[in-house]
Amino acid sequence: MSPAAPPPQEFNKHTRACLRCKLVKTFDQVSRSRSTFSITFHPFDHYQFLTDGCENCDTLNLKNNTELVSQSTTNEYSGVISLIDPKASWASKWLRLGQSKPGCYALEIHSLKSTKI
Amino acid sequence: MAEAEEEEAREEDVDDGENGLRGGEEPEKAAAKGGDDDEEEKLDAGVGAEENDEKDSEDDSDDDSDDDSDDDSEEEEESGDEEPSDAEDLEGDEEEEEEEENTRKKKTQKKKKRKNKFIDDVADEDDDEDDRRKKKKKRAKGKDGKAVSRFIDDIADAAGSDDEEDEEGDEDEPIDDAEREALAREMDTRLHARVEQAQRIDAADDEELERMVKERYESRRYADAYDEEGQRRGPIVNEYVDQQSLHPTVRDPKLWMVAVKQGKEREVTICLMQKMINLQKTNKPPMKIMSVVTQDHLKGYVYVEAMRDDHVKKALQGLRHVYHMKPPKLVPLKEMVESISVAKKEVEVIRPDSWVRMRSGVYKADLAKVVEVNYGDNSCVVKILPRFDYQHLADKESGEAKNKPKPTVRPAARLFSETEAKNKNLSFERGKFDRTLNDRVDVLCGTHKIKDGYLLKRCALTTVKLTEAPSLDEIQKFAPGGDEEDDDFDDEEDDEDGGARRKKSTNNHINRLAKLTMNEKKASKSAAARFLVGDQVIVVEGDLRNLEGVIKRVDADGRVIVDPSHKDLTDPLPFNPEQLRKHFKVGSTVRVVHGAHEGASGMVVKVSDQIATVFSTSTNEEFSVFMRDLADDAEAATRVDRIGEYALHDLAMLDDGNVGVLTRVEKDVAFVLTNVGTLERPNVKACKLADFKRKMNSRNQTAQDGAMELIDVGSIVRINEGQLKDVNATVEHIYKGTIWVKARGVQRDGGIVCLRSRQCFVHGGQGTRQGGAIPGLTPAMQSAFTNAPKSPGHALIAQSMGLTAQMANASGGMYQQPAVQQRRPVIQQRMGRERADPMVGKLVTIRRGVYAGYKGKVVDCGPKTARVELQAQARTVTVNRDELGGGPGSTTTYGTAAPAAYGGYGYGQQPVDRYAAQTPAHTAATPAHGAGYATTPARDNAWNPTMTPGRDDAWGADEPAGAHAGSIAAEYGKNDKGGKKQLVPDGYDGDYLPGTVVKLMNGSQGVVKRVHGVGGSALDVQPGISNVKSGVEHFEKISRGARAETVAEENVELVVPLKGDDVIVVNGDERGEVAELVMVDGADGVLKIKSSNQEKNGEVIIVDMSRLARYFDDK
Repeated sequence: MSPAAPPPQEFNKHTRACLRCKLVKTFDQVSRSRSTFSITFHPFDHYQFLTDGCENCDTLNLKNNTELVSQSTTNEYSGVISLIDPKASWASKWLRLGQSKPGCYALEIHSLKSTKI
Repeated sequence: MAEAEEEEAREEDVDDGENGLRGGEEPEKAAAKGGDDDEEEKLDAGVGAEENDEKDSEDDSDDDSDDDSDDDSEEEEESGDEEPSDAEDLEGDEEEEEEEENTRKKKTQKKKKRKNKFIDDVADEDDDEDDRRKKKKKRAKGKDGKAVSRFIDDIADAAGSDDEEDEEGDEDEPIDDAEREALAREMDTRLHARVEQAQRIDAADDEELERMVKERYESRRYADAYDEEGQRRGPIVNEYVDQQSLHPTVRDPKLWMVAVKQGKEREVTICLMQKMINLQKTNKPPMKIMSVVTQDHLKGYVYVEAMRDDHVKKALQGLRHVYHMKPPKLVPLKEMVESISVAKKEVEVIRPDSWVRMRSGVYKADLAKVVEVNYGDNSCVVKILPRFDYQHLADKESGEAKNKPKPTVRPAARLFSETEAKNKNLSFERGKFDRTLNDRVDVLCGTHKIKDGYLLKRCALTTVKLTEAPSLDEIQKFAPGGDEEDDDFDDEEDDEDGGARRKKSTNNHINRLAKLTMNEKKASKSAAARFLVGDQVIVVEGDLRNLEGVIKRVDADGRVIVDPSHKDLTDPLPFNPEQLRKHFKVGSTVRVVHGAHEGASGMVVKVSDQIATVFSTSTNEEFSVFMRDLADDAEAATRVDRIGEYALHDLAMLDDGNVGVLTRVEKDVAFVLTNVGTLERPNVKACKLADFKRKMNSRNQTAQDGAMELIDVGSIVRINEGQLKDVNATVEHIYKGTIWVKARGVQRDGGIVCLRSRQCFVHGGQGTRQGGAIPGLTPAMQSAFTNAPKSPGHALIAQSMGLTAQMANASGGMYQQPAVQQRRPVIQQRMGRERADPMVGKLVTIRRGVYAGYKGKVVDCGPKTARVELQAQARTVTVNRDELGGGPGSTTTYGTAAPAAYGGYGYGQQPVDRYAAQTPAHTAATPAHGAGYATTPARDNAWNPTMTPGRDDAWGADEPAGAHAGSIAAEYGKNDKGGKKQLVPDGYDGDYLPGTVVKLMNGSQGVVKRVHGVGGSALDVQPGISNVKSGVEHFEKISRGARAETVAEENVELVVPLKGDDVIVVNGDERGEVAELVMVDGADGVLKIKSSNQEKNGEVIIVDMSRLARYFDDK
């Protein structure tokens, strides 16, 4: 069985879904909204997309590219499916995730950006 | 295997388009074909027998049925392809497994495999090949065989038995050689592919096999990827896999609902994923669940996909937040898809320049414009009209805010005012560069960024939502120079040039803004919502650009059918909604369907690009709106003319006990004209539904007018006070002493006026009949007049002279008001009452006045008035008797009814003499009549409540009789000079020369017959019939039957003559000259004198129009 994509380290906040393969991971941005002048990072190292990239979409080269990550991922998604055995699962087939690596995926992405990638 | 797939694709093509292929195939394979087919058939049979004896009979029967309807079965197969039933799926699974086994075991059994292959595409949904492969092998083979033979039978039949086909009445043509060839070639190709495939599969290891299987599953649409050479396709991930084919089957893993702690659904899901990874790392046996699904909207449950519930239980072991006591619930097969699907939300993309509304806070529902969006941290900067509470800000700065309660009132949205900030000593920095906005802004209190008076507010994208296209008045606030927007349309008056220019630029800007919003919302709003039948549209895209038309209908698929308004294009044309824009022409009647003016209807009076200026019919106001917020009036669905049970123009009691009429209804507020206000100062209250207490019915209410006449709903009254003096109006509602009337020509409050009932006179009643002067009389005068005629004889003389009033006036010397002359009717009425008037019960037609044209039955009769029960309206109205014409079968009018009276006086029945056409006073004066009428004082009292019985009793009592008598004599003598009536008093210099056409108060016209009274203050006017000529009432002829009325000078006005009319000069040197108005040149009239004087006759003079009056010569 192919190696699984690590699940997001947070459950609700700071998670984003890859627009291409719907893989959900944490990616915490520089939180600018809270304080305008001092750039603060989230206390945890929650930026999996930055460190690991996307397991399914190697071609995107998300690693260490903050801009690209924020562009090619979105937080506008709903529902999460943990694909434990994508090959055997009917749900993965229905959702067209049969080819994806095991991991946590979004059920639906609500962003128009997905059309661009 | 991929090749095999190719084959299938091809095969399907063949199946699909047999007819198409029939034509042009090479003849090479023709010979081989027949044999091939036979062979196959045999082989099939053989396999069936060999492998699965017990299935044989079944197969045969199947075959037979297939023979009967070969085409049908083909179709079945195809349809099965797309949407496999469960049974077929089962079959498919088995076959597939079977197939793989077979390929390994018996490479040589090509035929059979080929058949297998063929069936495969019926339904091989499941890639789950490890467990069940061996289990079903045997059984599968038999089915295999069956299916294959079925297929081949089809072909054989199609190819071989023409007659059979004819029998069945198939529409297919008999298969000819070419087709046979095609089929043969097809078979051949497939055969070869099959061999290759088998070889490859043989060589492949498990993983490759898996990959190949996957490839096959994922590319179901063959046509696009099919290539002629039958070469292997690249691993194209086909996007168009029919989702239908992925529906769950009984063989798929099931979904189990697991109860978890609320709010921890996602955590459980993700933890299970982690668990799987952990197990993998530690090389422990994996969980037997396939997936875990959490839905955002489903609280307290997650779905776990597994084959069995104990697998679920096992996987969940040791997990927090899971309610282990609750057993997993199986999701029924039919609901599986539903449970893992998410309704696709309407995607809202907030871009810079989007119009948004705030979701919460003090700015809730306020319109804002997006300045900048940061998708990264999901925030945006919006430009919004600030709602600063300067006092609160000051308190905050000084630290006092903590001690004070937070203000509960929402501050008004208005532009930032620096003076106010300074007044409150707020810290304010100007032109500070803000890094995040990359712009210079003013900063108030260190936090609020202000630019051009607007607040720039950074907020999360979730706190704003895209708005429907905002209405014009809202957008105007964002136009440059926004502070002047409110009085935008007054600008022109203020400083014409500057205002107009500014307005123009503002309009341009607004148009631009409007376009922005248009583009944004275009996609999101459905055509049906945007366009209504009857809307006028213009085409903005495509070849037919600028074509105008009217919406004929909106189809369900969103297309809009437009009737083009073009002389050459007559057929309705379909358009996409995006291609159209509403475009109402000036003059169209429209209704506002969105925005602040929603519900208002009116007429388009001006159009500038997308902005239409509408003149509202309900409020008589002008406002501008976006064209897209308009709809054709007749078709607009959202008509706001009621609020709750209260509709426009209803009478309602409010919570505060006041009563009012709804004069305007908006979305959730109604404007009520209450009884609190007066004629001069109307009181209009804006009321919400909660402010209403109950609806009132005023149908049976009555009130008394200034002359104590009864007013009821529907009466026509004349307002006697204030600015609206002498305006006629219809009574809409009555409540106690207050009436609400609808007056024509009144602008405000939708034409509704609220006044005290005493401030008006009801038409046809006492007040209006003679110019409403009665209330002007002092009690003393009244009593004087009442007492004036001492005896019937006295009265007779006085009446016959028609001079009672003047007489009294002259003799008394104390009553100088011209109103005095109006006295007479009262006397007359007193005298002229008769219980059994011949008119009563007659059917009459009202010929003139406000009720002209109505028919009715006379229910009561006075000397001058009659109460007529109208046929068309359930109402009894009071009209002048001389306005009555004979109804069908009745020619009786008052005038003709009293020839005796005239006779007695020596006047001809016909008013040969002008004097004969005198006022009704004369009739009343006949002894016979007088006696007859004067018998009912009691009724009289009721009829004319201004008179008390006491006065009646004084009838014939003490009185300055001498004075009266003397004056009468004097007047009489004067008038009787030369045996002919003096038409104009001596020294009369007024305009109303006999023969002039005048307009009476009730709008009708008449000819002045005689001028009398002191200084000519009273006129005898003979009413007549007028027609409309050149848009104005034009006196045509005297109504013969009607009697002249005596009216006060101030209650008539001269009628402006038209070109070609006879005129009389009423002023200046030429006074009294009769002429023809040859031409009107501005203020001057060119006259051609008509005179008996030969010298003067035909002379042309130019006279100021104001000195002319229309002249009507009776002869």
